[in-house]
This record gives sequence, C-alpha cells and structure tokens, in this order.
Amino acid sequence: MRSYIIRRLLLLIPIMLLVSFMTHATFRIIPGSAAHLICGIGCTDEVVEDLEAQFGLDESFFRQYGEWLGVWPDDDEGNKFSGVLQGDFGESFLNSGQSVTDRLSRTLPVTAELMLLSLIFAVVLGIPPGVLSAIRPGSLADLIARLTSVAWLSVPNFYLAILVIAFGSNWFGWLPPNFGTGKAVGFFENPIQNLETFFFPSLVLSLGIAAVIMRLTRSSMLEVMRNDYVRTAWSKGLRERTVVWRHALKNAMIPVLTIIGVQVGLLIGGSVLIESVFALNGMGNYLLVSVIGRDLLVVQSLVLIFAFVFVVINLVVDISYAWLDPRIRYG
Amino acid sequence: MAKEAALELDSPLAPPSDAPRWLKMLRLARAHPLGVLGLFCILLITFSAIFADVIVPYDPEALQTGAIKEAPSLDHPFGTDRLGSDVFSRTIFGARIAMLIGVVSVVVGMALGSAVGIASGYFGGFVDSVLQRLVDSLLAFPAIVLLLAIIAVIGNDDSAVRSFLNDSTPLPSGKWLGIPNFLDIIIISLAIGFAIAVAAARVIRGAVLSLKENVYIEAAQAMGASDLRIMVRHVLPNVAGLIVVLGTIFLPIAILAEAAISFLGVGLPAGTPSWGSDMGNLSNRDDAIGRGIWWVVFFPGLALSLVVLGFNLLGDSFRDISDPRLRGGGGSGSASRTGF
Amino acid sequence: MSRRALLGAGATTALGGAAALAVGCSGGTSGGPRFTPNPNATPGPGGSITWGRPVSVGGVDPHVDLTGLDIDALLYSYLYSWAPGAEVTIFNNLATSLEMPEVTNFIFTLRDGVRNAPVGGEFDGEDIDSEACKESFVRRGTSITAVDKRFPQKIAGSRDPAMLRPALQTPDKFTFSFNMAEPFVPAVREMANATWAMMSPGVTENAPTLQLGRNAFGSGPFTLEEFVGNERIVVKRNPDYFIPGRPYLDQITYVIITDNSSLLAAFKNGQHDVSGAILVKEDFDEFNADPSLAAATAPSLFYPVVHMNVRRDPYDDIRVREALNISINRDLIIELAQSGEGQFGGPIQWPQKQWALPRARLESFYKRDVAKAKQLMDAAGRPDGFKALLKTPRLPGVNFINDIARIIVDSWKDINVDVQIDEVELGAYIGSVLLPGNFDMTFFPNLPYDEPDRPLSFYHSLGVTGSGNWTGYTNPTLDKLIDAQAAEFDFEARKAIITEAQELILGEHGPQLTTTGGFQYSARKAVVHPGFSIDEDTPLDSNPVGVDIWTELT
Repeated sequence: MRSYIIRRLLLLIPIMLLVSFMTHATFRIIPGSAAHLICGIGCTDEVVEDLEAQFGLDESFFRQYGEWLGVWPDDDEGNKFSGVLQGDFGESFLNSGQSVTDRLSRTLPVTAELMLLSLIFAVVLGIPPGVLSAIRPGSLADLIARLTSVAWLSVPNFYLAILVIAFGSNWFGWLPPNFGTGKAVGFFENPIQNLETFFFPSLVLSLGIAAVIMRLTRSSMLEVMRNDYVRTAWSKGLRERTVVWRHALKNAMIPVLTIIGVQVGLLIGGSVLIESVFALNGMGNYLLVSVIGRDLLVVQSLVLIFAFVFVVINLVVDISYAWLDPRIRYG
Repeated sequence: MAKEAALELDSPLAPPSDAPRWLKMLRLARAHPLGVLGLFCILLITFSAIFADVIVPYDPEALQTGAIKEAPSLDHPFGTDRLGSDVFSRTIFGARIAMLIGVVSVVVGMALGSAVGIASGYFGGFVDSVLQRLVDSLLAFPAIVLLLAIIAVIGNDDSAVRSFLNDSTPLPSGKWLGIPNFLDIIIISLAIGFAIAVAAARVIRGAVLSLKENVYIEAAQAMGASDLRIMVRHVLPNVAGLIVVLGTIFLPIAILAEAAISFLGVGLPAGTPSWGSDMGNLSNRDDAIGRGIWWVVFFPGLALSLVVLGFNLLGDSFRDISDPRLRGGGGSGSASRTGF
Repeated sequence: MSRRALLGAGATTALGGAAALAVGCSGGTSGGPRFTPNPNATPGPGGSITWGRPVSVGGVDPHVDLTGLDIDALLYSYLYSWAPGAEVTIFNNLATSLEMPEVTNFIFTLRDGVRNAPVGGEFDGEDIDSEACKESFVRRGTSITAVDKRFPQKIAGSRDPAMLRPALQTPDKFTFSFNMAEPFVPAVREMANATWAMMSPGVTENAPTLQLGRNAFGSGPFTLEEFVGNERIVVKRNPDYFIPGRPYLDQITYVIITDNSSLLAAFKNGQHDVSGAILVKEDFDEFNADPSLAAATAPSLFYPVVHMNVRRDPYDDIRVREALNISINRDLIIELAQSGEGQFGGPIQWPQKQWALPRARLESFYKRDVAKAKQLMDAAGRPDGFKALLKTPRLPGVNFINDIARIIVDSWKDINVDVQIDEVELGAYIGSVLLPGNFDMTFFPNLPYDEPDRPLSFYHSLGVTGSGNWTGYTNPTLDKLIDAQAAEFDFEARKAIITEAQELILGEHGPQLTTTGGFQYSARKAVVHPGFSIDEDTPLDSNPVGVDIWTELT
C-alpha cells in the first residue's frame, strides 16, 4: 500500500507539469492576448508589442514557462529565480500586477466554504431519501424520492440560481448581503451574515450531488440488504430499524463516500455559473475571468492548483476505498 | 417475505413468460413508470426537433412577430421577447439544436474515447502509460478551461478545423436545416465531444483491461490475427454495451454543457435560438429578473430540464432492466466525473 | 468629464450619477427602508453611499489603467474640467486660467493650495505645482496605453521622455506652459479627461515601486481606502481638499457585480444607493414613478457602426455600399433597441449638438428606401444579392451589439443580402479580426468621445488617433479636411470644415455605416443628490466630479 501511495504521488509531478505546459502552450497559440484586451479598440501593433514585451509574451514558450515555474532565471545574470517552485505563482497582466497568491487568499476561503456547505447539504438531502427508497422499494415514497432526485439532477443549477435571485428580489425583498457590501463576510466575523450569503448558492450547488448521493445510497443499500448476513439478521427477528441502521447503512456508505470525493473535485471548476450569478468571488469566477482575459500566468497557476487538488482527491478517494473495504488491495 | 419478492421482481432469474410481446412490454412499462415518463419526454423533444419546421408558427429568428415582451397568449403560447421573437418557436428550434449537439458530441466523443480506451487497454505497456498520462492530465483540467481552450483553438477563423469543415465537407457555414450558425454548432459539439472522449477513454480502458485476460483474445493472438482485427472483432463487441450506456449518460451532459457555456456567454453566438443562449442572454435575464418578463428564460429552461430529466429517467430504467445490480445510480458515478 | 460614458473594449462607466431607485416593480415588496426625500433638505456634510458598478477595475493608475477612470477622477486633481454640452472648459480644478497668446502656446496659471491628501504616506502634503504638471505630463504622455498618441508627439516631436521634458516649461511654481509644433484643437479636450491626472513629483518619480494600480497618492476630493478591484472599492473623504467644506460625503463604497441582472436586483432591493446596472427606458419610467427614487436620462455617445473592408469585393463598389446603407432599417433599431427614443447618427453622433449634421438632413439622407437599394444592386451587377459574414465582438456585460446586429441583418434580407453574424470572443476579435483588418464587415461600438476629432479620425487614412486603419479606406481630400479641422481653433471656421467633411463622408457611404444613437439612463435613491443631474447641462460654476454629491441620510 505504501509503495502504491508513493507511486501515485510521484505521478502527480508529470501530470502537473504536463497540464501546466499544455495550458501555457495553448494560451500562447490562441488568438488574442492580454495586451489586446488592455488597449482594446485603441490598439496598434506598436502598443501591442510594447505591452507584450512587458508581460514577457515575446519570449519563447520555454523561457516564459521556465520563468514561471522557477527553473529559468528572471534576469539575465542567472541569479534570480522566482516561480512556482519558490512559491511565487506569478502576477496578473490585467490587474496591475496583482499577485496570484494575493487573490487566492481571498477567493480560496469563498470556494472552500461553498464546497463545504454544498457537501453538507448534499449529504443531508441525499442520504435520507436514499435510505427510505431502499427500504421501501416500489412504493409511492420510493417513486417520489427517485423522481425528485432525478429532477434535481436534471435542472441546470444556473437556472435554479436565476430563479432564486428573481424570486428573492421580486417577491421577498431579500438578496444575499454580499450584493450590498461587495464582500462575503467570513464565518467567524459574522456567522449569520455569512450563512445568509452562502446558503442559497450552496443549496443550489448541492442539489445535483444530493441526487447522485441519493441514487447511490439507494443502490448500495439495496445491494447490501440482499447480502446473506442481513437476511440472517432479519430472520433472527431483529427490529427493522436496527438492521437498517446498524448493518446496512454503514456498509452502504462506502461507495457514497467515494462519490463525495469525486464530486468535490468537480465542484471547484464547476461553480463558475453559481458564483457569477450570486456575485461571489470564488476560484471558479477567478478562473473564468482569467481565461477570457487571457491572463496567462494566472490561468496556468490556477490550472496547476486545480489539477493538484483533483489528483490528490482522487488518490485520497482510492485509498479510502481500499481502507474501508478490506477486500481491495493495491499492489 | 413480500419485500424479498419485490426485490426479485425484475431479476433475469424470473421464469420466462409465454405472454405475447405487447403484454410483456406493457408489464415492463408498468414496472418502470419513471422510465416511461422519461421516454415520453425524450419523444416529445425529439418530435419537436425533427418537425420543428412544421410546428413553429413563426421563424425563430424573426423579429417583431408580435408585440414585444408580450406575456403568453393564444397567439404566442410562450410569449415574446424584447425583439418580438416568438419564444415558443425559439424553444422548439432549441430542441433541434440541443439534439444535434447532443448526438454529434456523443458520437464523436464515444468514437474517439473508445478508440483511445481500447487501444490503451489492449496494448498496455508503454502505449497505455503515455495515453493514460495524457488522459489523466486532460481530466485534471477544470471543464470550463478545457472547453474554452478547445473552442478558442478550433473555432478560430483561420483554424485548420474550421477550414477543413468549410472547404472539404458539404457542411454549410450558414444556415442548414434551419439552424443558423451551423458550423459553430458543429465546432462546439466537437469540443464537447473531445471532453467526453477523455472521460470515456478512462472508463473503457478499465473495462478492456479486465477483458484482456479473456481466452478469446489469447487464442486469436496465438492464431496470428492482427491487433487491429482483434480489437475490432473481439474487444469492441464486448465493450459495446458499455459504450452505449456511457453514450446515454453523456448525452444529457453534452446538452447541459452547451447550455452552460452559452449561459456564460462563451458558447454559441448570442441570438442563436438555443436554450442556453436564451437563458444566458443578458437582456433576457434582466427582463426576467428585474422587469417581470419571466417567460423568456423560464421556457427554455423548462425544455432543457425536460430533456435532461428524460434521458436520466430513461437511462436509469435501462440500467435497471439490463443489469439489476446497477439499479439506482451506480453508473452515474462515472458520469459525474465529467460533468458540470 | 462628468457626463461621459466611456465605452472602451466593452467597459461602460457611468459617470456623474444621479440615480434614484424606484421600488414597486412586478408585485411584492422590496427590502431596505424607503425614504422619501425632504424637499427642505439642504446640502451638508456627512453620510456615505453605496454605488453599484458593473465592471471590474483593473487598476486605479490614471496614466496607465483604463478601467477605473471614473474613480481616478475622485482621487486626483486635474488641470480643469470639461462641460460637454457647451463644450467649454471649467476652471474649477488645479488651473485657474489658461492663456493662449497663440494657438500653439498654452500657459496655465495654477492655484495655490492643492496638495496631496493625508494618507499616512511619505508624499502627504506635497504640492501640486508646475513641477508636478511637468512630470505628470511626461508620465502620461509616454505611457504605453495612452490612447491618443498624437498629442504628446505634437509638443516635443517625439514621445521620448528625454525630449518631452525640456519642451514643458515651469517658469515659476504656479505657471506651467508648453508650445506645440502645430495647432491641435483636440488637446484642449484631451487634457480634461480622466487620464491626465496631475501627480506630485515625488509620486511620479517613485511610481515604479508604489504600485499605483492599487494605491493612490492623489490630491483629489477622495482618498483610496480599500481596493479590491473585482469586489469593492472604498474611497474616503479627503479632509485637506482645496475646496473648503467639500466634499460633502464621508465615504463612497463601490460594489462590483459583473452580472447585470444581479446588479439591477441589488438596486431594486435597496442595497445600492446609486445604480450601476445598465438600464432601459422601462426602468427609467418605473423608477421615476416611485417617490423614493429618481432616474435621469442623457443622450448616449455609445454608437456601434458597421465597418466595411473596402479593399474587398463587393465593398469596393460604392453602389453596393449605398444599397447596404440605405436599406438598414434605422427606425426599427430605434424602436426595438433604443425603446423608441433615439435619433439617426451621422459621422458625428447627434449628442454632439454643435457639430453633428442637422437632424432633418440625416433623416432625409438615411431614409429607408428598399426600392432604390435594389436598383443600385442591379446596377452593380448583383440583382440576386450576395452572402456575407458580419463579425462582432462578444462584449461582456452588454447585449446591444447583438440585438442591433440582428435588426440590421434582418433589414438586409429585403435586398437579398444574406448575412450571418459571427460572434468572436473579445481577445480573439481584437487580435485576429480587427487589427489585421481580417473581415468583410464588422460591427462594433466606436469609442465615444465628445470631441469631434475622434469620430472623424475613423475615416482618416491613419486611422483612429493615428493608430491604425482597419478598413483600408483612404481619401486624400478627406484626410486634408480632417487634418485641417484639428488645427482650426476658430469655432465657425472649424464647424465649416467639419460640416464639409461630414457631407463628403455621407456621399461615400462608407467605410462606416452609422446607425442610431439612443439615451443612457441612470438611477439613484432620491435622498442622494448629485451636484447636478445628468439630464441637465453641466453648470459652468460647478465643482469637480463627486465633490458636490450629498445625501440626506447622514
């Protein structure tokens, strides 16, 4: 097992390098650069050249990539290295040199809270109906549970987001507080306002995952309940509740946990739409704006971080799967 | 116990019935009401897509078909928007665009993904290593970035892909089958298809790996059959079922993906009568949220939800029927690796 | 400066806000308390307001960044202000007067007492004097992103700081002057715009290390308290401002929400005091009907035009161009895209009342005539029309381009011209469509500017402010006229030249086809009083922007 973990961790390196280099190459090739966006309609070739030189976009792929990574010196004497390897994720072209780390320190907590709350909602909204559906298959309750869970999965979350804003402001005279203040207050500063800000975005984000969790809970519970030992417990006359809660649920949670892990990885980049509608400055929005703005170093750094998180989460998921289910062994 | 019996209801172990075919179908339908609902939704949308020209009372792109921002009425069952376009006509045409994108994305994605997955799984070793690293890297990209980057690269005016499509294929760049911006739609489908291929490749490779130990393969190799022949004749048929299942999972995801990127304003050109464009259109949203003109966003959204709902319900039932062990959502696990 | 709507690469900055929020929209209450204004209230100090904003601010360095100019105007001092309607300078800022003994000689007399605001930095209290003007001119004039490159060029013949500096004179502490090589009328308007901030010499000298994109060391009515460019920006009152008792407001908080519908919702919900959303006439009517809100309207300089690449077939044929021009259904654009309020625009847009061609002339010239257009197409050998591609940029936050493009394309169907709209992402648009002239026809908003030289320069061989000709159009006669008007300080003479140029352009039916111009709308809570409303002309005795805003809620 340990060698497996080490091998997977080592694989992180080529993947992250590949990912960031592909991003770099792609964004150097595609038409339009940050320079074009800055001077806009007042652009001339001369202005664009000057700006691009300022951003280092006139250097070769490898040199600029190397400088960003920290393996190529920034200056000509070969002394100063400042790049990812030294902890410097680069600077924005469009926001007067704002450092990526600086903006990350602001966007990361927002995204993290959004993820966390979404997961909590998803578990709370997904597991009980799944259990209910499994212990009463074919009943009306089962049907309703399955239909509503698929419905949540099917309605696009950005659509729900618009509905929340529309109803909130028109019918209830309420909108999240960050619309008025421009910032999402931290949980420890003002828990009530914080929850007011994050409640609906997290809820909307959670529904799709809740649906997946519900179906998975249901199927794995059905699976588990079919097992002999469960039937044995039944035949022994134990109360249904004991059977369900003590034996089936615990084992049924295994695949559910792994799904939660996968979904987290997706949520990070996928929350863009929700963040945009709810005016939250999270990493999804940061990424989108940087891609449209061709903010090269920012996009590279963000993609690197996302890739890292994605791979690590997958690893954790795979390992926890093995840890939870003793039958699985990795060589 | 009754509960056990309920669990076994659709098991393939149940004794075969001698009832006539239609009765069997009916029983199947009664046992899977949600699947029937799903099928109904899909048929409704497909019907709309195919017969759009006949159904729509107005040209979806026509301006001033009636008063502007008119609420739903007999003349305009879904109302009109700020330019006077009929929302009903636009929604019906949206079905055509959605189905087109869904089908093309899935076909391209599954074809490419299967090819890579099968090759990767079959050859193993170095080929597998390289392909897998590539696939993993691509999977690690946030979906938005991947799609945007691909669209930017291939959608560019001078791109090789666009020139190829323009010159070498009969596909027109203007309107075709009443669909405007046809080439743009194809390009977006290709981008989404590529993203699908990446996810599919991983899943299919997994399946092929377990197949490799199969006796047929060893025998065929011993007999000197070429790799290509083996892959096509022996491996492919065995993963065909998986490919189809994956296809049904990805189709609604592809449609949602287009809606999402059009919503963000980076997908189809604004003004195209696609559901995502209409929902994301800034004026429509302002009208819906701020000025009470809810219908311009509501109906495209409803249609989109219906399609995705339909495919999900139908897909679930398919899986219930064909493999009871997968009942209720195991398959959706792999789908969630890709979506939004 | 206070009324200009800057529309650079998709950014809309609404200045001089007078905004009132009216509630009472589609059914239901809205949040936040509603205050009816007190008719007896008088301007007084205190209070803070929240101002919605649709566009992120990349930076607040007025010499370099172009997305936060309205905020820069609050943080820094300028030589003078500009009254757009009357097109005169108002000496309510750093300069007390401008003498021009000759049309190429500018002599500014500066006021004593303009100093850097106390922000707790090493440049507090530094004087803004002639030395400051000189250094600021150098910094601004040689900045890479400076939009008009011609102006500093005409002072020193070069944009090299080493040559520019000696050409700027500081005979004494409060006198600043320079000579230009040739007369250049747009210079007067140019120096009033928000990029020409006057910074103290200490600041310009240390600029490379000060990160002026995120910090401000200015002498304007407000100081920069908090800057998170894509979330919120807080400016606080400068207690040391040179106008005693001003500004009235203690604080302005700008809240950035890039999604227009969310921005509108926040305003209607009472969370913003001044609306940042892009509004339409319906909103204006609705808000004005509510006593706790006030809405205002002003002509909009936003003008999208169709550019044709006259080097390509069939746009090199003037008959085709004319056919396209007169078959555009401009009335429909006004009706559908401008809520019925708008006028036809000529080469110079109608809000520039002193220079634009008379309304009657434009209405008769641009009267839609499909029959004549068809005749022209026949004469040009294209009775069956042709297919074309109209490329448009995808501008974040606004939808008007696409709507108007669709109306235009629809109207061309009547002459069998089948046009497909191709929306290109903004970065790619600038880089691979516009700059290289890689288009048959394209449709995008020209940079609005209330100096006639700018819209005319789109027809000049050298292109916009000397920076590039995308359409390939050259007309030496027109070039001469445009150059001449830029050098003519006498109003009547200049007007005559400009009218002649416009008439020439009309006859060319290209390379730009102008459409129509509408109105811009703004809204605020009625208890917030701007110095003057955007629907009034700038009073000639007004103070600089932002200084006179006051609120009844203190």
